[in-house]
Parts: sequence; C-alpha cells; structure tokens
Amino acid sequence: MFKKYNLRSYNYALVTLVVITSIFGLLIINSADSSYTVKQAGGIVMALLWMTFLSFVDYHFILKYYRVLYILLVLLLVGVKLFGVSAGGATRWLGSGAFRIQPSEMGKLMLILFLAQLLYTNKGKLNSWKFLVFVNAILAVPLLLIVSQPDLSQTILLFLILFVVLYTAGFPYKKLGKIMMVAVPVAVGLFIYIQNPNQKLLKPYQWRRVMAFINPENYDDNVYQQKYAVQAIGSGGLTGKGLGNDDPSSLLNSNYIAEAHTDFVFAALGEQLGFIGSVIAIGLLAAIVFVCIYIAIKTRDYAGRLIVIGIASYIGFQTFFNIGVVTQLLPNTGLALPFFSYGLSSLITLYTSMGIVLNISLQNGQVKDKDLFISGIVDIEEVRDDEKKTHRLRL
Amino acid sequence: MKKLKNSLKSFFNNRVSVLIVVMAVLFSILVVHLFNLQIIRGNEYKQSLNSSIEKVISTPASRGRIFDRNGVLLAYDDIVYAVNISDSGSFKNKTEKNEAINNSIIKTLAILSKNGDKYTNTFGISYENGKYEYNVEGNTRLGFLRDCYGKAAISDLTDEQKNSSADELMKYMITNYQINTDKLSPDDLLELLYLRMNLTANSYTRYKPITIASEISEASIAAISENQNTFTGVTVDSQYVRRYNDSKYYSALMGYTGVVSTDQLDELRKENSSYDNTDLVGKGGIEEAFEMDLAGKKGEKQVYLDTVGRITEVIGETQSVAGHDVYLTIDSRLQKKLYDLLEEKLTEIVLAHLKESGEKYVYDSGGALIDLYILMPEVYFALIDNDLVSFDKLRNPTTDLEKSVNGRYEERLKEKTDWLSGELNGQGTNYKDLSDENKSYIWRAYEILTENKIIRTDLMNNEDPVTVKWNSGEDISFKAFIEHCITNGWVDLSEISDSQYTDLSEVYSKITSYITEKVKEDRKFCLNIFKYLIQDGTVSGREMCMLLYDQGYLQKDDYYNSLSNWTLSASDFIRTAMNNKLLTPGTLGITPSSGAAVLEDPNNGQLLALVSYPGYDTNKLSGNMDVDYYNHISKNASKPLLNWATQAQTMPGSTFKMATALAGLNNGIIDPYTQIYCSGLFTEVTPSPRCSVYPGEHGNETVQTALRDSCNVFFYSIGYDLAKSKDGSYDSDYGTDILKKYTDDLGLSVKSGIEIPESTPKASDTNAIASAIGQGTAQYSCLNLSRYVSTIANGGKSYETHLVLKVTDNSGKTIKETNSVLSNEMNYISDTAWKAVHDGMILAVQHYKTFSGLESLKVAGKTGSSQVNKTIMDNGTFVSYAPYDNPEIALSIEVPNGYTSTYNAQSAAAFYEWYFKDFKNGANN
Repeated sequence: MFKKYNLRSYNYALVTLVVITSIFGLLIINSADSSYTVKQAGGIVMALLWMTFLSFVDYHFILKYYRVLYILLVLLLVGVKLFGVSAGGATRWLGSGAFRIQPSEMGKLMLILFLAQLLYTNKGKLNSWKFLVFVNAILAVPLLLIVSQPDLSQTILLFLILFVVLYTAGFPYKKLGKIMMVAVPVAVGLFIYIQNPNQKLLKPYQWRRVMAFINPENYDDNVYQQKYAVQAIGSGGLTGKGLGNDDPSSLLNSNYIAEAHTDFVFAALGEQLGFIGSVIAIGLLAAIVFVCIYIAIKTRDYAGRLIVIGIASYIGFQTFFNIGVVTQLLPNTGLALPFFSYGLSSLITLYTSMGIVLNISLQNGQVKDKDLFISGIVDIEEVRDDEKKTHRLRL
Repeated sequence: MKKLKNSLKSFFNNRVSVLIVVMAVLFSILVVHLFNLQIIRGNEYKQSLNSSIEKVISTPASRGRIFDRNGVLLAYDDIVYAVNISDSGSFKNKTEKNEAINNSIIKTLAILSKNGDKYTNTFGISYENGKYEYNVEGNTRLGFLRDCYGKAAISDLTDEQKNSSADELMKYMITNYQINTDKLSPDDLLELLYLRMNLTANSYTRYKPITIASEISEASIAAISENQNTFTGVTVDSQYVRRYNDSKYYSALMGYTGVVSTDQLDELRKENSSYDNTDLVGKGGIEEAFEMDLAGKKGEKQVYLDTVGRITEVIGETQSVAGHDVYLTIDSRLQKKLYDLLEEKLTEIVLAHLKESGEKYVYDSGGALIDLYILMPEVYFALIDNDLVSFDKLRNPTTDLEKSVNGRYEERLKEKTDWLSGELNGQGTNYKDLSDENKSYIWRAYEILTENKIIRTDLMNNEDPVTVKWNSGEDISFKAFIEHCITNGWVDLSEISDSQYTDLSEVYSKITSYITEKVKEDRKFCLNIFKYLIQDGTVSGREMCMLLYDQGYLQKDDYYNSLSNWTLSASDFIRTAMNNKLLTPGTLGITPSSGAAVLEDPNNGQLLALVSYPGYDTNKLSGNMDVDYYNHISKNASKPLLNWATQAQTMPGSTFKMATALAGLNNGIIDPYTQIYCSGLFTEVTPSPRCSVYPGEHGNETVQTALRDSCNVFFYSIGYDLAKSKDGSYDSDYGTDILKKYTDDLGLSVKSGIEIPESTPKASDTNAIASAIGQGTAQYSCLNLSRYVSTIANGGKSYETHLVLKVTDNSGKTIKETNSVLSNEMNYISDTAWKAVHDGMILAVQHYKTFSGLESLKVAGKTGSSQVNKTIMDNGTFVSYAPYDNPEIALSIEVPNGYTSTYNAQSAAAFYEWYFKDFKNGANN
C-alpha cells in the first residue's frame, strides 16, 4: 500500500495552489453566508489531511479494486433510486443531514479510476469495435442512472471527462469520425426536437431551463437566478465592492443571490472582488488544471496518466460550466465551482482526486519501468511525439 | 500547405496538447466574458442594479374635507391606530420562525380581546355550531384553498386538496405553521391562520403589513407599544378613516370611499399614475367626482428591498400632502330640513293608508285607481322582506321565538315543496285553477328555471300558442309546459348535468329533481312561503314585531314590554313606531318609501339642497365596507343606494304644462288672453283624451286659469296645434320636436351639468297631445325639474346646475371656484308670455288649499302627477319658486307612487313657511 517515496519529488506547487484556492474560496463563503464558514473550514482542514494521507497511498493499490469501485458506484446509484432523498424535483442524495452524500459527485472520480484501469488492462484493444462497444456499454450504466435522477449536468460533465480519458488513451480518429457522422445529426435532431413544447425527453423543469436560456424573455422565472448573478458580477466592475462589504445596494447583501455559498459562489466573488478577483480565481483554477496536465505529461504510467488527465478535465470542465452558468453563458445547471463552493461531497471528491494526483506525481520520480508505459500505447507515433514533448519540457 | 498539414497532424496526434488548447480556450472564454461584463458593461450593471432593488413605498395622504357652503364639516379623515404584522425578521429555521410569529400573533390577539378590540376576520372558514365550516363556495373557495396551500394558481391544486374538508385544511395549516392549538379559542385560531396565510401570500413583498385590527383602543396601543420587543413583526401604525357627519342626509350626493376597482384604477391612472390597486378612492357622489382634488399627494419612502421584500435600508422619504377641501353649494340646514320634511310626509302617507285587512284597491266608476290601501300583513312581511327581521338569523334560530317561528316556517316549506314535487310528478293542475299562493310557488319555480337558463327563454317562440297560454296564466299545467319546452328543445341541461339525455322522461325527471332541490335554497321562494304564513296568520304580526327586538334590530323598550304582555297590538305598534321614527318609511320599504327634493338658487344654478330619501350611513360603507350593512340596504325595496334626485326618472305630469304654455304663446297659437273651451274631453281626436275634471268641465280657460286648474284640454289643444305641420295635417313628431326645443332651452331635457352622475333626461317623442300635458314618453329626474322651474322663475336664464362652490387647499386658499354658467337665455320669449306663465303658477299656488294663509310667502308653483299603471299609485311632483316677484329659491319635490301631488305641495308649503319665517330670520342659525 505504501511505498518509499523521495519527498523531493512531492509536488508542493499543486499543494500550494490547492491550499490558496481553498482559503480564497473560504473567504468568499464567509462573506456570502458566514454561517457556513466554520463547517467549510473544518471540512477543508480534514480534507487536506485526507489528501496528504492519500498522496502517500500507492494509487495502484486503489486501482486493484477498480471493479469494486465500479460496482460500488452502481450500487450507490441504485440506492439513490431506491432510498434517495429528494430535493427540488430530483433525487440525488443518500442519507440525511451531515451524512448526506451525493454519489454522482464521487462517481466522477470513481469512473475516472475505473476507466483508466480498464483501459490499462485492455491495452491495444481500442481499435476493436467490440471493445469500444463493451466500454461504452459498461460506462452507460452509471451515466443512465445519473441522468435519470435526473441530473443532466453531471451526466454531461461525466460524459465529457470520460470522453477526454478515452480520447487521450488513443481513441482512433477514424472510428471517432464514423461515430461523429452518426452522433452529430442525432444531436442536431434532438436539439431541434427538445425545443418542441411537447417533447418527451427532458423533464419539464429541465426543458424550461433550456428554453429559458435560448429565449430568456419568455421564461423569466427560470433565469432570474442567473440574471441577478450577472447583475451582481457586472456591477462589481474592476475592483468590486469589497470583500464582506455592507453596501445595501449589493445584491449579495440584499439576498438576491440564491445559493451564494454553493453553486452561485462566483457571483458573490465577482460582485465583491470585481474583475481582478474573478481573474485571480479563474487563474488559480486554470493553474491547478495545467499543473495536473503537466503532471500527466510527465507520468510514465499509462493508467496514472489517464487518471490525471481525467481529473484535470474534471476540474477544468466543471469550472467552465459553473462560471458559464453564473455569467449566463450556459443554461442554468446545478454544478459546484471546484474549491470554492460549499459542500462536503464536492470537497471530498476534489481532495481525494488531488491526493491521487499528488501520489501519481510523487511516483513519477520513482517509476523506472518504461515498458509499462510503452506497451500500453497503441499509437506508436503518438508515443514518440509524446516522448519528444516530454523531453522538450524537461529541457 | 504541406507543412501546415503536417503540423496539424502532429498536433492532433499529440492528444494531450489538444486538451491543453481546449482548456486554454475555455478559460480564455471565461476571462473575455467577464471582461465584457465587469469592465465594458460594469457601469451599466451598476445603474440597472439600483433600479432593480430600489422600491418606492407610498404612504397615504389625508383625504380632503368636504364642507357645506357655510363651512359646516360634512366629511373628513380621522386618524385611528391599527395593529399590523409583517414577516420582517430573519430566523435560523422554520421552527424558530413559526414559534416567534405564532407567539407574537397570539399575544397580540390576547391584548386586543382583553381591551375589547375587534379584529376583522375574513377567513374562508368559520366556526359555527361547534364545527369548522367553509363560508365560501365555488371559485372563491378554490381561490381560498390556493392561498391556504400556498399555490400560485388554482390549477396547481391537487384534486385531493381541492376537495379537502374544512377540518382537513385546518389540520394541514396547523401542522404546516406548527401551531400549538391547546390554549386557542376557535376564533383566535381562525384569525391566526388568516394572518399566517396572508403573511405567506406576501412572502415576496414582506414590507407590506397585514392588518390584525383597525381602530384599536388606547389601552391596546399602550400595551403593544410598551412591549414592542416581544411582538416579532407587530407594529402599531396610524391610518386614516373616513368619517361623515349626519351621513344619511348627504349619502346620495356624498358617496363614500372604498378600495379602487379594476376599471376605476385604469381610469384614475390615466390622470395620475401614482394610484395603485389597494388605494381607497371615492365611490359615487362628490367623493368620486372630486377624487383628483380630494385624494392629495401620497408620500414616498424610497427603500432598498431584499429578495423577499424586507427593507434593508431607507434612502429617502417625502411627506404626503393632504388633499384639497371641497365646499358644497349645499346648505346643511336646508338639506336636513327638507330630508326630515320628506320623511315625515312619507310617514304620514303610509300611516294614512294602513288598513288591518280587506280590499286593497279602490277604483272609480271608470276603472281608474283612486286609492290603494296598505294591508297590515304586507307591513309585517316587509319587516322580513327588507331584512329588518333577518331571515338568515331566523333560519338558524337561537332564541325561543326564532325557534318557534322557524318551526312553523319549516313545516310549511316542507308541505309546499312536497306539494310542488307532487304537482310535478303527478297529473299537474292547470295554472289558472291554482290558489294565488300556489300560483306564486309555481311561478317562482318557473323563474328559477329561466334564470338559471335551464329553460332558455331566448330560444323560446313567444308566438307559439302554448307559450302564449302559459305566459297569460291560462289552463295549462306547469308540468305540461315543461314537457312542451323539452319537446321543442328549449331546455338546456348543460348547467346541471354532464350527461346527454335524449329521453323526454329522463330530462323531465332531471328537471323536477333540480327544481325541488333548488327552491329550498331560493330566497324569493322561501320568502314567499313566509309571506303566506303571515297572510294566513300562522305567524302573527305581533311575533314579527317582537322579532325586531328579539334579533336586536330595535333595543328593548316599553313598546316591547307592551307587545309581550299583549297590551299593544301589532298594528298599533307599527303606527307608534313610525310616529316615533323607530321605523321609517325608508327602512320599512313600504311604498311610498322614497322621494327626492331639490332646492336651487334660480339666480345662479347653485343647489342649496339635494335630498334623496332614504339615505344610509356612508360611514359603514367607507373604507373596509361593512358587507352586512351593504347587503341590508341593497335588499331594501326603498333602494337607498339610488340617488332619487339625480338618477330616478319619472314623467313630469302637469308640471310640464308651463313648457307647453310657453311654446304655445311663443308660436302664436295662443296669446295671454286666448280662451279655449274645456268640455272635459278633447274631441279633436278619437279616442278623445279626458281632462282631469271629466265628466265635469272647466269651461273657457285662458293660459293662466288653465295652469291654475291644470286643465288638460287647454294644453291638449296647444299640443295638437303645435303638431300641425305646414300643410295643416297633424304630425306628432313635428309637435314633439317643437316642444323639445323649448324643454331643451328651459334646461329640462338636457343634462344639468351637476358634478355627480345624473341620468340622461329624455323628452317625449310620441303623441304630441299627451306630451303636452307631461305624459307620453318623457323621463326627467327631480334635478331636471329643478333646473326647469329655476329657468322659468328667472325668466329664461338657464344656468348649469352646480353642487360644488369651491375647492380650497388646506390653508383655505381657493384653488378652483365654480362660477355660475349661463348655458342658455331664452330672449326670444316675450315678457308678456313670461308674465302669463308666472301668473298661472301664482294662481295655481293660491288655488291649493295647502297654501291658504301663506300668501305673504309669494310662492308660485305647479303640481303634477304621472300615471304608472293601474295597480300602483301615481308619481307625485311639485315644482315651485318664491318669492315670485324676486325669486331666491326654487323647490322641486318628487315622490314616486306618492298617491297625490297634494302631499308634495304640503311638504313644500311647510318648507317655505319655515324658510321665510324661521330660517331667514335666523331662528335656526
């Protein structure tokens, strides 16, 4: 389970970024609703300890149980179906109170780990339709369970993350092209179809949100949350109204920002700290994503590399979705802003992910077995390119 | 090209670099978008932000006062204190919030009931006979359920919620609001639920308070203000309440205030956009007509609100400005005197025609109605018909007397509904063979069917012989007629059933079961039962009179004691009570029960009195309307809500003859000396219309004596001659057109210009001969007559009629003044013609016995009566002015179905005597 590590290889940069971002997030939560500060601070401290602990746990040890992870996730999601807690028309949670967990949140990491190890154990099979169908079918089970909760946004996010993992693993372009030729017309057809009020695919609330985004003036009720958020952010200007200000004309202070400590925390941030604060926040998150990608590039281990890529795209896409929603660039969905939003499930998933990334990064210094890596790659060209690039970066 | 292709290929082959680019693009999009939002459009958002959370809350202005011409205060705003609650606190959780709000409401209610303050409960559930019941039905019930279940629309209610019983709903709300019901009385519980429901309904406009009780006592104000901290969200706020002094005298011209209606709001907003849908505005009369002057300017409080409408900061405040004061042309002393005189005269007329029993109608040999008695059973029935004895209370009896009377009523109701059911299901009796009583039930049952559109009179063929038979009450049974309607397809069951029926007997049985159920709830049908209970003595007059005390309409006094120990008979009680004004014609609603009197200054068109009898208490309708009182007065046969002076119209009768005289004189048909022979009949046309003296005769009449004697033949003749067109043939339209020109110029058949609503007068347009004596199709109000006689009095100057003297600001500075507007001057009429008419009116007054001994008052005038039909008495009118050599007042009186215009002349004589002897000499000042 544990290995001997060279602590000089420990990625202190990533730890520093995570700590800074978390503290930044905590300050915003404190200003949005101070009643959550202590809980979130406690959560962050615990999560940091957990991350540190995990960073020393050999991720191969975890990957050994990749089938267990998959089955556990499916069981949890079935559990949600059967005994789940409902809120706002959707059933996404298990348990109650402090012990309420959102399996779809953890599911992102679990599926990344599972897929990485699955691809590793089936090296070279990505070119066969049979394997592709198998992979897709096995991934479709948890995805369908999540979309039926309903949780369309988590499903889309998961889909993108898993696609990036598959893509990075070397999903053949020719096959991708063929799939696209089928998928694109279907997607366009669906897009046109769902605009029909009598459509059967989306739940009414989802449909309204999508329509509210396409046609804001007709579905005002569903965009007010975004409208106020945009107003708050916009009115923040360059420098913002100040962290924890008591300006009565602040939308945050007047309770106009719904979910200001969770999904809409960025609105509180944008209003109080302005463009400068917003760019710093985005910069911190981008830095975490790019540090992860850098670690991935350096990673020799096939599975480890895919895991880090998965986690990087998880943080990157979720950041984009969340800020996109808050700034009304995308339809209103319920996704947390990584490291900023209050919420235990999200916190645990993030820090667990970071712990694993740290361990992968730590092992980069130790792994000598190049065969592991080379034999795992399908496309020789790519390996070479990759190696060259790695060399360049080392220089 | 190739290089580019290769580099692209190598880019896509290095899949991580694709991901790097994708991520870089996504983050860049966010930064660019934020730059656009915060830097480029930042200021724009800052500005629009303020407008979206800033709110201007208006504070009501004190409404202007209304005075009479001498500055006697008639209407004003009083300051009272109301206790309000608003959901303005923030709480940790629902339980804490519920506890805090419930406690503060319960404590407030306790203080209020301790100090005897009443809280207004308009909740949709009430507690009666030991159980909770809905007091609203149909859509109102659904709207109520929607609010209770906190839904946005009725359609959001589940079927289960829609059908929940009062108890189920209460249980839901008690659980939802976490109410501990242990120590709560049912009334307090209902009030608590009412307030909680309304607070929830206001949950996004929390700055709006909900009123718990208005006009609370000093003790409650002190108790609540002292412990402000323990009453979460409860505040004591001042509010204005409209008050009217001596309200019944002025009700019709004054109007009252009430919450603005949707239509009114649209109109008012056109003039002033600051009106909103909860404002109290003038309703009817001066209050409505001078709304813009009286309303004042609302104060404003600019605040920032949070999403749930709690005030986060007050930015600015402007004080309200009180409305302008309105001074009427009315002299309150004259107004009251005339009102009282009219009431006394009506009392006198009613008392003079009361009769224990026997024949009601007295006809002369020619079949004309000459007298009409009011039989005592009608009076006893009027007590319940006009809601002095409450039928609703009687049917939910609490006292022994109520229980006893109701027992007999229910027995009869059962008997008659059983009879009706038998009649419908059996053979069916021909209508004409039924007793009067049973006819009334059958006819009411038929009316219920037509009113509810079960039998569609709009589809019915009125030429159809069977329909004709039915409508004229001949030998056809109700059953047969319903069946006839069914076979002819005049029946529409869609109101009562969803199913389609084709079978005649099925449809028929559906109708019979409908009608037998419906009659039991029909007020008119049930009152008819009661009417016959009184008529046949099953319920005695004495019991009816005692119910007045029993139910609290009258306070128990000596008369009650006399009634209960049989020393005072019911009819004597009615007489005594009327003489003592315990019962007035206006409340009793026995015809004649209404009337109008208008006193005008003929020199400028100002109204010194505008009396509509009966009046009502505008204090009870103003602000939050006393709905029971409104229903009570709107049920009364005397129609207090109608302005009898400006909106009730009758034919002018003989008062019209001055107009005909002027037309005749000015058209050269007669001169002041022309004599026309009256033989009692006007024989130029057949059938020959009669003179009032027929079978006697007036002989030779000049215009002066014809006015004195009110000789119809003289004026028929003028009417006939006026209608002779150029070729000499009789053309009625030609004649009525000429008459109309004169009545227009005299101000009779044109609108008077008064500030409050008036009916549009209508000149007669048929039968020039009858029109010449004021019959035909003319319709004028007492106000029209007043302007008419004023124009005659001053020799042809027709002034616009005015009720408002001036409008001033609070400091008394005049803002608007009503100048007398001469709308028309009849220069074309010669002085001799005027003199002839004036002389005729002087002679007429001298001729009335009533005025004998009052010659020094120099009154000129003319009586008139117009026939309505043969079952009710004529309308009585009287127009006059005085002194005739220098007119200063003109008085017109009109009493619908007032028996004879002599009564009006008597009222006028009494008034003139008082006016010149007492009033002018300052005895009443």
